[in-house]
Amino acid sequence: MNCDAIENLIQRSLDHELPDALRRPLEAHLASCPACRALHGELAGLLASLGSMAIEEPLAGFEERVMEKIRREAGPRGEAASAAVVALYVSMGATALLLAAAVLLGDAGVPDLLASAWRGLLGFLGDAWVLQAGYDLLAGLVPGGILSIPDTAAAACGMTALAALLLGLRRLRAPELKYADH
Amino acid sequence: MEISDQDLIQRCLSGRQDAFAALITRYQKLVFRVVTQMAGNTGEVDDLSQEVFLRVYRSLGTYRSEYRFATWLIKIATHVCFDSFRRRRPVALEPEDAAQVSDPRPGPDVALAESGDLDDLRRAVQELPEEYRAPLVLFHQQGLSYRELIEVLNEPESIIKNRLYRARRMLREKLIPQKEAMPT
Repeated sequence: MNCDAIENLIQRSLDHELPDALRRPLEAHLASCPACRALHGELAGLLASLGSMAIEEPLAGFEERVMEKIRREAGPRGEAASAAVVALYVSMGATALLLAAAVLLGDAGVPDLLASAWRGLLGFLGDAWVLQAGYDLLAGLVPGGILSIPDTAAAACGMTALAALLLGLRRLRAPELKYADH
Repeated sequence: MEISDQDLIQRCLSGRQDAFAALITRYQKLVFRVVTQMAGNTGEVDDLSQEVFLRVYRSLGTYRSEYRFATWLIKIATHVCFDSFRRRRPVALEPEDAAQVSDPRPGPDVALAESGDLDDLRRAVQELPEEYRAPLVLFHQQGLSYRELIEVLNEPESIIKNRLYRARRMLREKLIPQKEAMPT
């Protein structure tokens, strides 16, 4: 085996991948070839030294500095996620209120309740223009007698589902954590 | 009983920041080790290590449990270092060029470096092109397996083996001629 082939075996031995069958030929060559023996010794020595290199230790307070950055970064997104959760509950409440009003009050009382409930929801979802458009549509159709009470209730349920969808989209934008403080 | 990494990750994902703090405590030394070995003691180690944990935090939801958490962490640390190298040194030498410019003759500082062989070694590792430095550091200093190197570096095993082979040769070419010239 020539020296080029032996270098390949040396490299494989450094990878811990030299088959037993090739170990003896390698050792025999190293015993008789000073150049390859030097190569093997130098490479093995260098790699052993790699493990003895001094490593910088984390400075005191490292963990706290990272957590502080995380808290700062999490702030606005955490608030958005929390607002979305509240918005979902409010929208569900608004739907329940609307359904109850449909049963108890009839057509006349529904538009006012509808307005209060959905204004409350929109207060939490300030940028939810889709919900605003939905509300405007309902607010226009119900008083005009175009939509019946069951239609209105169904639309309200749809808007609740939409609120849940918006919540899901927000969670996708901030999927990792809920940023709760403990 | 120590809480497993998986449990800590689940707690993080359910909003427990204290669980992430525990992960930092558990792995900060590992991250510092990888960053120091990849980037050298450049004064940036603390900042880069912080960046590693911030990236881990942001992408914790994408962690796949079939890999060791430590391996995933090392992968992120490696990429943070790569990004740092690119910002710091826009033009990287090709390995062939690097081999050519490494002067085999002893440099003017050889005598001074005689008592600081590890400093020479550290400098030589830092001078390796990053695609050669990464497998060398991760395999020989961090003890990663080939399977883990494939995951961390996102390269096939044949390329990783070839780079390791060449990285060791480059390291030797940079360092051994100096030693030979030293007075005995």
